[in-house]
Amino acid sequence: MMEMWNSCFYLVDSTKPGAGFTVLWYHPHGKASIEHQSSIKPIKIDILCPGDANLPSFHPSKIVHWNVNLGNAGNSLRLPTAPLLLVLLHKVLGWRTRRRSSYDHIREKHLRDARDVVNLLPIASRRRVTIHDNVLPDRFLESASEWVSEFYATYPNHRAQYHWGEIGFELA
Amino acid sequence: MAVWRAAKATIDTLRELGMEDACIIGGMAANLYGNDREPDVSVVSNHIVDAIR
Repeated sequence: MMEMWNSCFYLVDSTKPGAGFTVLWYHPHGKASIEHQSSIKPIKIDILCPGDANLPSFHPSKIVHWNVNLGNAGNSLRLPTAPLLLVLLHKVLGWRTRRRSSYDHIREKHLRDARDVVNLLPIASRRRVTIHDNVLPDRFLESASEWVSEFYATYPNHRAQYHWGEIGFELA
Repeated sequence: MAVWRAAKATIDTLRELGMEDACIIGGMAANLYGNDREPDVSVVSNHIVDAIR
């Protein structure tokens, strides 16, 4: 649907052996950039829905808006993001899922996820994000508690324990 | 810059398709909250589920 509405988006068959699915790409010049070898790299776009990758639904009022300054062009973009608690816990889940993958190219990305979690955790704690904010469903948070415990067991750290506690995850 | 423009184009296109609650998640959202890693683009849309149902 995206590629029919906006020609900057196009679908390409996945190059992974036996994948059997297509991948959505974005390029300002659209699919023509493939043939003309543009100096601008295409960007892969993932579109997820609640239910995909254990993502929960959340109320639109919890969306956070950012103004991204584009520098010398002098203009800025207004971009909406998911609430920080979901971004953090989604990263923890991504770490857990990739770590268990039987595919090397997926499994090796779990360290990148771990670094993202380690960076985001104190940010969430400082912003006073907590599981009691009624942002995410209880069922999701119950599952997330297990993911966080597993993450902490893998990377035990006194500061991390403090930050997780501030957010509402009590870790032994 | 390209990745932000791609995200904006994705959000705008989803909105034009009626999915007004689409927002960014993953590395790109993490970057906006202060993580310094260069992000990919991931977007979540509540309304896509409705379209599939």
